[in-house]
Amino acid sequence: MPQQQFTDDLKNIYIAADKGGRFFDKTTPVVLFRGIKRGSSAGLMQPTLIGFHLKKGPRKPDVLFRDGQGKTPQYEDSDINRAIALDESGDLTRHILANAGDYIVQGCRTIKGDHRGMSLFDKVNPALSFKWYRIPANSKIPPGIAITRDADALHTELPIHYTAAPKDNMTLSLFLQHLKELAIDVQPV
Amino acid sequence: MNQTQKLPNMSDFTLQALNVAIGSIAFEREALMLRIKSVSAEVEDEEQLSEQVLLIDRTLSEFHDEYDALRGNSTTYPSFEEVIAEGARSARATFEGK
Repeated sequence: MPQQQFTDDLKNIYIAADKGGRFFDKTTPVVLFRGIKRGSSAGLMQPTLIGFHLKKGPRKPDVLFRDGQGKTPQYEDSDINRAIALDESGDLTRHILANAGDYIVQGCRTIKGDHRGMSLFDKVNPALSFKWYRIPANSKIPPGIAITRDADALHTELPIHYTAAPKDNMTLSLFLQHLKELAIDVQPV
Repeated sequence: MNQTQKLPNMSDFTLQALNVAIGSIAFEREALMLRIKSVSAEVEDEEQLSEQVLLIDRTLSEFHDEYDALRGNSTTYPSFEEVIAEGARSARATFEGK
């Protein structure tokens, strides 16, 4: 099977918005941290595929994906303007992961908003009930992924949010594979 | 209103609204952090307090640019960092009396 080629469309969106300095697709610009809920069975680099409810409202999925019929299991009636689908048993997530090659992840085409990709931060928050992992600076970024810094500021007291974003549409299985490759040198904090 | 007083323009209103929103989010973040310190792991887990903090951090990253862009070099409004610090201070004063 020929390797998928990825475009500069997302990079160009950043450049057009005068935010080109916040886009990275060769190596990670700084040490990045990924937190995973203690006791979670999810893989470290597994994005939130199915959303859940927080006190203040829905925590939407990290990325949007659709099956061959253009339907997404992530929202009620496959409509992103409706309520998020829930998965308390984990069965839906397991089914999606088992069939990840059947879903197409939507490439990121915005510099802010929902469904842009998986969260990373430039510092840990040790008070949270997360186990933190460190992705070294200058780690090679796989071709289907871009790392974006989601603020102009380079340093702030609070953690700066970075996104591991799908550069273009691709199968969910490929996106997950590239996320794992991003974390090849990951170390627990 | 004094006839010579200038009416604030729309970006002043937007900046003011953003200032209030960011301060309120910072207040909520600090309140969550204080709650995390004071409750059991079970309660923390049930209320998903850590997830709420992460979501707030993501939101604040996005607001940071908007705020700085609207504020420009103005000294009428505090810096983003000062708004965050004030929100956190206010939460500590509310919940810890500090």
